[in-house]
Amino acid sequence: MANNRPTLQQLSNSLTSIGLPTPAAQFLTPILHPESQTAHQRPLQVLTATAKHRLLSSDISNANVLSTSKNGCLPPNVSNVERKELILANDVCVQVLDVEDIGRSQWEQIEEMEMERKGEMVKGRQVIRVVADDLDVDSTQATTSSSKTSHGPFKLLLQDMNGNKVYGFELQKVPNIGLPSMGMSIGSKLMLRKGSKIARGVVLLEPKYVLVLGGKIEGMDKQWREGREAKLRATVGESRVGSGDGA
Amino acid sequence: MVTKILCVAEKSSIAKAVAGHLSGGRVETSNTGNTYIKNYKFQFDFGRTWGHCEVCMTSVSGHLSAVDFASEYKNWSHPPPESLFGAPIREFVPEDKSAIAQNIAAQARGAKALFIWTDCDREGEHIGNEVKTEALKGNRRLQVKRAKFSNIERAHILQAARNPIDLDDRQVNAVATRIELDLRIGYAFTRFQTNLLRTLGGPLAEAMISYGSCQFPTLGFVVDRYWRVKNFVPETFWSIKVTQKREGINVVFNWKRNRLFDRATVIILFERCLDAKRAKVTKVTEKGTRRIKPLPLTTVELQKMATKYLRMNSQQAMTVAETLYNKGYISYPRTETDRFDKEMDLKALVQKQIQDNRWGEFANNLMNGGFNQPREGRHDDKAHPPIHPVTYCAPGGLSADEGRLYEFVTRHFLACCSEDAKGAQTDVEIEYGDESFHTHGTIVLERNFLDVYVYQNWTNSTMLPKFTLGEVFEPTEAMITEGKTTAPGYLTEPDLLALMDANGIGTDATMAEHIAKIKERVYVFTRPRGTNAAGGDSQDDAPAAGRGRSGGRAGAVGARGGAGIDEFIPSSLGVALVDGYDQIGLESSLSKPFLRKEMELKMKAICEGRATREDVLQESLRQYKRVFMDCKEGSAVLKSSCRRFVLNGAA
Repeated sequence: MANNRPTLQQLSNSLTSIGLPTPAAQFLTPILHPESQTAHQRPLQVLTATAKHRLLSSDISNANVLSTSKNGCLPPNVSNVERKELILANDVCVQVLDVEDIGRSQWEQIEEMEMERKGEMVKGRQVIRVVADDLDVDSTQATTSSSKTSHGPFKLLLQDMNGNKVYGFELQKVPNIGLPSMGMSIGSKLMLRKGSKIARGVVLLEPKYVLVLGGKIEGMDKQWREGREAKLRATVGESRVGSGDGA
Repeated sequence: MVTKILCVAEKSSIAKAVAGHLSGGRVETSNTGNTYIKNYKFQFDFGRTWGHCEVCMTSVSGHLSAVDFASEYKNWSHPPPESLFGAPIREFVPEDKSAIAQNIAAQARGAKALFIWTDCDREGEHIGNEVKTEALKGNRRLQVKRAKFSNIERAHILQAARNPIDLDDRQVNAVATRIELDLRIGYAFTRFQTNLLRTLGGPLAEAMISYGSCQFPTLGFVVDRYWRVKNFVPETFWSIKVTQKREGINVVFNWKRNRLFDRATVIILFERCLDAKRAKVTKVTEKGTRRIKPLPLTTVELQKMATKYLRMNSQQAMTVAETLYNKGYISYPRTETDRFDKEMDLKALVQKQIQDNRWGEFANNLMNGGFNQPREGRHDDKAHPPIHPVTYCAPGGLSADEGRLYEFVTRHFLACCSEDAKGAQTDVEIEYGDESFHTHGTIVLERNFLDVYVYQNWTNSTMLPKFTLGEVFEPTEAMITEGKTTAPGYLTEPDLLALMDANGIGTDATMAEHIAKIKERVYVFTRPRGTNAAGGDSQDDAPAAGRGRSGGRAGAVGARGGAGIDEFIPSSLGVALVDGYDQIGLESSLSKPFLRKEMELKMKAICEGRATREDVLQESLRQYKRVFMDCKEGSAVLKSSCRRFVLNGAA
């Protein structure tokens, strides 16, 4: 009966073929050999789905999640602000630890959260607080200014499997990068492609060099959501005193 | 024997004007028991059904009857205020109106029919019904009709007199419902909060703290903005500006990202621009652009623009507009309609304005081929056309305010009948490093409606020199700029009207009253703007706000206005009330617009026959009573808010 079971190699290949990094053998073994005997005869497809889900929900900085020999990692000098430009020599899988919308003031984001808390964003309960004055708007502007809901660009804090961290900036709009409220959770995995540019310690994210794999690290995501407002308020409070430098 | 017909208008000025038109001047005037109300007797041929008749034209003075609770409910604390949700109410003619009622009953005797000439809106329909009730007391067999009219111009009035319709009972019911709800809810909450807060003593010991279901949401908007101004924290943002000097012109290219709130990122991007050394022109487009002429004038827009351009408050504007209507110069000023009926002869109205020395030439040009059908908005109340001048009025015949408002209505109307202003816009986009920048130049080619609509302007921007697609150049200068966000401005009257309108608080006809009420109650103050920094994001030397991202949400309205316009600040009591009710329950707080909006929609449903008076009364009273009980339970919270803001004066 063991003959039908997919091999570790098959499962690993199946995962990389859909763009995922190569997991550590220790990570895949329990999936191939579940303790519960009922799940025995599962086909590769099902195992792949299970492994993918577990991988995307894992903290890749833990040992025995990703294969250390088969995956690239961030170069050691990645965060060096002295380096004007650095190009990634291989693909690197990273996870998102933090997201900031740097296209909007933090205060605006705080106010939005307040409105949400007051239930003013719920359908049917919206209170219109600002009415656009269309008087002096000419036709050309009227048609181009409808992008109220899409925010950003975003600045991310990324981490590779060795625990090294680096900032990422959305140089060009990347689909699926956004705040957790817009669908990209904390712990979400990104594949930075070979050729990605890193300028002064910041990865410049562009659609052609980054693949959003998705996922979420439950605890981190929850903590981030709960702490977001307090964190924004703290930063805003700081800038009030005068430092003003968000970096 | 000649048929006698009794006509009753809503105000004496209308009675006089209509009598003048119908009689052709041969009128016999007599006094009534009320000094302000006259009876006008004359002959008129109503045509088909009624033929040649003897007419008595008189009027009421607004509502003829009032509602009140029975005498055992006069005491403010006993029975408790919540009993008012179900207490019996009575309708009666107040003493100061009894002479008017008697006059109507007396004149109804011997008459064959009653023609109602009250204003053609919901309130007018209800007043018409009150007139009907009194007239029937004098003559049970009276036939009742109503004249449908929307201005006091002669031909229109004659047409209305010969084509009377029936009273609309649905509208009568809607108003009756609204009156009953306002009475019960207003009294219950007013007594509750007054009784409660007086116990705090100090300035509140003898205060009368009235509640109105429109006033409170209106107050809520003012308080909400107040907190947003107070709590605001400025933040620094950075931007990149690229300048290219060409043909002696400094062309400034603005960053497509507008601005970022992270300095490190901006520095990195800036460095990459500099490293790229040269910029490339990626887009050059030239296209026609236009400034669109205004939509036909509704009441809300009239109020907003009068507060903005004429420095009147909305209530003044409505009073003046009504005077102009009563004098027959403009059409009925309470309308939601922003489209003219295709049948209307607008050119005839334009023709009347060519004699004016301010806009006569413009009107004349419209008559000589410049006329364009006005834009059509999406609102039609099916009762009145947009506000427009009905006859020409020379500048001398009016008071200063009347003259200014008439001028505005006329210029607005002529603008509607003109053409959009046209211009040419050139957009140039460049790529520099990883970043995009753009600039644009506008040339105004034809001013069209702007020539008469002096309230708006459109000017050429600086001329752009030639840029060619694909061209590569080294920018003369590139720099990082820095700016700070600034707080939104306090609400101005046009802002407040817009918010009320958008959230369904009040009708176009009553909004101004609610605003006046919260001032009168000292829940809010007004002061001239400029005492505080006006809204919008100051850009310092950063580029002007880019498309689609003009600063914070609050900036959108607050940025406009300028000096001379009043802004609204809540009093400490206003802040305390909103704070208290919000804390008791945000879901259905009295400061939020939902409950009232719902009520407003239910009135509409009654008018359209989708709901009955009984249903609506029952449902609304149940809702408000539930909120009332919540408030009663949370009265300690309300008291503590008042203690905090009013008694310590801390707000």
